[in-house]
Amino acid sequence: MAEKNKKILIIIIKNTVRLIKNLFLIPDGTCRYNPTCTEYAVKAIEKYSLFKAIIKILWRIIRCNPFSKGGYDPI
Amino acid sequence: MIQFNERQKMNKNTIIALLLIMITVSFFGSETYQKFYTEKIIKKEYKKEETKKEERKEKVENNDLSEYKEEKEIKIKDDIKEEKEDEEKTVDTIWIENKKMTVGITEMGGKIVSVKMKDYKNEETKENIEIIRMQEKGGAQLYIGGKSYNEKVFDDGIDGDRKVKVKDKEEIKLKYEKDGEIVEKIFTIEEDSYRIGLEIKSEKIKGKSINVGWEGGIVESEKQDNRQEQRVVHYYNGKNIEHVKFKNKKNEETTGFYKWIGLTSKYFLVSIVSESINDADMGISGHKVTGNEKEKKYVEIDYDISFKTVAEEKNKKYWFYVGPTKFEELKKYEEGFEKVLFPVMGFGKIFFWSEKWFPWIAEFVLWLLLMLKNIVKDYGIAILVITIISRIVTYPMTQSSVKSMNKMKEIQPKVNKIRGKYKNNPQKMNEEIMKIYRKEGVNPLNPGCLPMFLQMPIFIALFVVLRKAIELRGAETILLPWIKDLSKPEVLISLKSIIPGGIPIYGSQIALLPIINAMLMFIQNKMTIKDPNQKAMIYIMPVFILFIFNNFPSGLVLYWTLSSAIQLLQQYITGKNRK
Repeated sequence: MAEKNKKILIIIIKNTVRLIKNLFLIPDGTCRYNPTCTEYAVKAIEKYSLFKAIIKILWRIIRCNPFSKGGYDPI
Repeated sequence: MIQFNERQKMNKNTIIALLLIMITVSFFGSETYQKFYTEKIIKKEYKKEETKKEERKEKVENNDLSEYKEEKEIKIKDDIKEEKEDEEKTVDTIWIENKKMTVGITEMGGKIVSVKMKDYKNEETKENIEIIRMQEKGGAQLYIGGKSYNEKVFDDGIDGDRKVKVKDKEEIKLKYEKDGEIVEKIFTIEEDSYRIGLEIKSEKIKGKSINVGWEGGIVESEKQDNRQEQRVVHYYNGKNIEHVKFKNKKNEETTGFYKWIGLTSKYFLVSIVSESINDADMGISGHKVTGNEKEKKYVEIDYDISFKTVAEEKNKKYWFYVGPTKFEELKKYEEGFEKVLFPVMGFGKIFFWSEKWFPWIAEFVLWLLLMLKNIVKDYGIAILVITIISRIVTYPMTQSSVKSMNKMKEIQPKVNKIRGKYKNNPQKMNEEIMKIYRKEGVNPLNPGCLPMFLQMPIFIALFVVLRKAIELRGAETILLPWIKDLSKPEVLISLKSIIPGGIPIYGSQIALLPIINAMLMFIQNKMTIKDPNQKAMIYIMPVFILFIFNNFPSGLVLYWTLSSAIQLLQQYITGKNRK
């Protein structure tokens, strides 16, 4: 994917997450993982092809649940 | 310092991008755009007709009439034929009334020209809702071997219009007879049902193709300001359902084994059902219709639907469902009709087989809502109860995050310091942050992203249920007495007389709940958003919410407002107890 499109996608993701967090009243700064899922997604899109990035992001979201330990999990 | 500036720049860009997204999204949904769009289409159609007229004129002037002469001659011949038929028979209409509807059947083609719902009233006129949009076309069209029988007179043997009141079961026999050809159309209507049975009988139909259609469309039953709810066509093969709609005039034919074809508006379904699963051609033909002819308020697509099969016997049985898309009612017929209620189409399909599991969630939410309404006798209170239930279910999750959030706030300066210190070494940074957490006894773990994503379908289901469930049509609540309908946007003060067309994006009404909601969100944001990059969001988000929620079903906004209020209260109490 072209760099420009990636940037647009990243902005959309960031704002969508913001919106969802607002709508569902999810507080900031209480993430299980470092980097957070959003940061992770942004980096994945920057680094990989779109398909691989989506797979990576999905896997991360599935892991981000009450039964996981969390912690440092770089891309 | 440079980095800081860049950060600010990024922040600015993000805000601009967000604003642009907001404006585009709201613009395409706004009344102003709809009006503009409609006018454009109407102009286009008008132009087309004008060119056609001119072409004709030109041809007449050039004496190029060969085309038209032929057409005319054929028409004259047809007219003579029709006249002859008319001399012999008069065309009557038979009105059949049962507990749920009144059906009008004309002898001209033996078509259904009127179906009126006795349980549902039009919002404006307060009369029973008439389902058929184009009554001159109607329903139950018949083509045998490609030949139309819609202009032939089917006689019922009794002169004059008549009214029939259905007791138990009523049969209306219509017969077309000419040159030794006999075609019978037999309609059956039961006492307490939306079913209209149709049997076609003829000596000659065996082996020929039979096409039964519904060409009258469905009328718009709801008072619409700018556009109608889109019509959708459904195919069902006994197991799976497919949903089809298109944006422009188009014809489509699908071949396969099918049980029925249906056409839905927001609240009503018209379906042509075969007695058994047939190898059939399902035809849809979309055409543009303008609602509110005089004012030309919207242009949408309505559809003709047809069910074409080959007759294996001397008779062929069908039936029509013409009635509301009410879950319990649809389920009664055991034909899978309930699957038309919560279709997943287009963009919604990208979420992992959502067309399979989403309807189940929506049905569950509907069931819960109706059950609670039966207990508390009020939809507003039922929504309140659902809010409380969902808050209790998610309490462990929200409570832990509320707690850790409060503590986080206290140690935030320390964490920020570390973040700055170990900027280039995230591994080390994380370790150091974790150390502080341990020292302060903070459990930093909120439930994570997955539970949040799992909750979302339920919220979306509630949204869909409030919009689509006919039970909520005109539902009022004692909680908010000025709301006339929980399935529609709230109107506290109408701006229609002051600003015709309404405020762009916002709409033509002021609603109270979205304002409360925006205020709650502002307080919430003030409390939680600590990231300097996101500072502007504290102000932008509430405004965004105010605009978006203003045109949402009031029942949903009620849910959201209650939910936000409870969450804030929870935060406040938890924070207070700690001190």
